[in-house]
Amino acid sequence: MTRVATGRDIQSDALLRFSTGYRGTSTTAPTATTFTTDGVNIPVNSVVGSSVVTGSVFGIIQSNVSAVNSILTIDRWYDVSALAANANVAAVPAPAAGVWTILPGNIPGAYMGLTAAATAALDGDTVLAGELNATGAAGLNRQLATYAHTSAATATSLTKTFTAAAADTLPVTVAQMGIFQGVVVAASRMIFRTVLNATGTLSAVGDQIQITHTTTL
Amino acid sequence: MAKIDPRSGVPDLEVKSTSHKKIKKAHEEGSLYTGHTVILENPHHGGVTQFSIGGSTLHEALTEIVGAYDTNHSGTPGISEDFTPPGWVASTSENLASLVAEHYDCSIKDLSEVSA
Repeated sequence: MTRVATGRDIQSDALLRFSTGYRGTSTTAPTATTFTTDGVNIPVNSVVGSSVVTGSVFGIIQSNVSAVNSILTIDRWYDVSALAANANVAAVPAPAAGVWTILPGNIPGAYMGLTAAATAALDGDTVLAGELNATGAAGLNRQLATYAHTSAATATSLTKTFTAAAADTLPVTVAQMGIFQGVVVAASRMIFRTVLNATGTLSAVGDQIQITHTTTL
Repeated sequence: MAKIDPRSGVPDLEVKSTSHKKIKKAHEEGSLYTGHTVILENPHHGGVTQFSIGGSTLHEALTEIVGAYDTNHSGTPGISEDFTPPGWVASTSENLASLVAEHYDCSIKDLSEVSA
């Protein structure tokens, strides 16, 4: 397992950085991937990985510029009470301008992606090379994994049973996985990249593979 | 401790044939259990194991719960003699609670009775 450089930044922010958040009222309409703070100046890239919340939706901040009206780049909009199950779930529409909040801390990472590529994981990796990302009725694309933790124990696991579906390109031999902060393949930041202890081949629709990522805290 | 398919890593669910049919039907329909909470009493650790279900069908969610509990949360990984099944299950989903209880032959608790 390689906890990549970005993953260390996310862990640090999520566990130990209890910084002041921000809030305001925007008048600029948010887009699918940007949010303008209108009158609130936020230091450059100081809120990366945090969430900007407006109404019942939030976006995971990928970068931000410092200006009188700071512009945040997000990966997409998520419904706070209905997280995207996988990469093919359409993003929530951009919200209207209005009251917003940036909460302290980083968004957790529980999305799991797969690849057939067997190249070694490197510390500076920011993407999972060759990540399976078929559109339509695919079952092997990036998915929200099931989280489990036992009170006071050291292990936390993310487990996903992937089921091959009609849109997946089969057969495929899965060799690596990645854990991501969000569901957007081209944007959401990677925390872990791991070469599996055994490859798994899926040959037909309905074939399954279960992958568990365990983190010891 | 559930048997695990060596090729796929997916654990076998030890439930009645009628339950298998129900799980299969739900899986084919594609209904997802995203966001549901499942809590298992964990005798090995003297506490509870909490699950937040991901983007999973009923079959996927059940195998994720069983796979994670058996392998990572119920004893020493890889040592079956150390395995301790849960004494009870509680969940925001009645389907998940009843089928996990059937698999482990344990009781179901109401979430209001759980002090995690």
